[in-house]
Amino acid sequence: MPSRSSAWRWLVKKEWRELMSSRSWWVMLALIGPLVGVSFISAVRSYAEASGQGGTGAGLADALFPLDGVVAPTFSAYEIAASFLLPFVAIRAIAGDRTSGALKLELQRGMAPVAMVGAKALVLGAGWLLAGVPIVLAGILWAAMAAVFTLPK
Amino acid sequence: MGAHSVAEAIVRVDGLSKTYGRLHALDGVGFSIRAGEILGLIGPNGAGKTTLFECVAGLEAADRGKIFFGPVPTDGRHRSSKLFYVPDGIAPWPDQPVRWVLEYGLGFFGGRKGIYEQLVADLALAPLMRVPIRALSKGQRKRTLLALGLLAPQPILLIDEPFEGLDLRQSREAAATLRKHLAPDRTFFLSIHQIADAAKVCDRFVLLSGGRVVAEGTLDTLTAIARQRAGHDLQPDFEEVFLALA
Repeated sequence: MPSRSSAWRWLVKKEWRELMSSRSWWVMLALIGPLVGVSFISAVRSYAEASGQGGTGAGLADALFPLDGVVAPTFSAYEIAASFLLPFVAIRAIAGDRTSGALKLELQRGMAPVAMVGAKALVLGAGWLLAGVPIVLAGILWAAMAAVFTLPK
Repeated sequence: MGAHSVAEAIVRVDGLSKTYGRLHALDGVGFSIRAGEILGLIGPNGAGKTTLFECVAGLEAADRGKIFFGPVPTDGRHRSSKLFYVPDGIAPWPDQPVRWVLEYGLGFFGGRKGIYEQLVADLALAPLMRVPIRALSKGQRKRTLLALGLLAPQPILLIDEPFEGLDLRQSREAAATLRKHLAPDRTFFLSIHQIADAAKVCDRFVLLSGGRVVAEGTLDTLTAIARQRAGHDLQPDFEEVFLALA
């Protein structure tokens, strides 16, 4: 039998392949993109208006910081995804092995259950970070546009 | 009998019992597995064959009874180094292609790399290597699972219904492949509900009925037991023997 670490690396590799071929994962990605995009656009518009450039009360701009005005609303879309979409991906990742019978085979490796769950959690975490790409893109866009806003003094 | 001499019992199952509510799935089951043999577990539907396999493999906890490897009783977790069980009706890692599944089997379980190419040829898997498991027919999936089982490093391989879903030619080829990979340090324990298939491939049999072992031995032994119980002569036919005993 291979060493435990070698078997665990194979398990992580398998979990990653399974995640990349999971329909629920791609559905989540497809929904996160527009969600973050719409939140970002409306946050930027609201912030632009509130900051006085759009003709509204200029005093409000002093009370608003980009973190409140743009970043937080954009991240809130990510939070919605974490609450409603990520559980589906996680549940399918765990239940899939059981329904397909893969779990019956993998359990026979004699690996500690915590190591098996750990591999899944690691891959889900990495996948979740990857799903944060729209947030990064929003940040880059924000950085590109920030100069046109009136920042609070 | 097989080409290899069979002698010592490498596994002894003693008094294995398992209940699901009021149902006695296994009731004091006892038998032995000898090194280098193909042992067939036969019995009618609902006899407890799959439950027995899952208890022996350590996937189900038995209520009572012990499983000995040599003189030592072994718990479920330590059995993983001794035996590997291939369940029936599973489609593991459905999105992955056959090649990757077999390579994963080699990497994760530490399989027998030396027989990989030979097995792919023996089980006619070459045209399927890029096909995802979910797209395979029942027979193709069974052949893939047989390969996965045969690649496993453990000396004892348990396969639930190894010929299910295979046509006549494929059944013969699968039986020949099993026989080819049989060795003094490689033992097969097969659950087969098709009596004709069991008679062709197995060296000895364990006949399970109603959760109990009603007979164990070679075809000659089983025939003698059946004659004794029936109280009259029987046709020298395995199906008749099975019906008389089960």
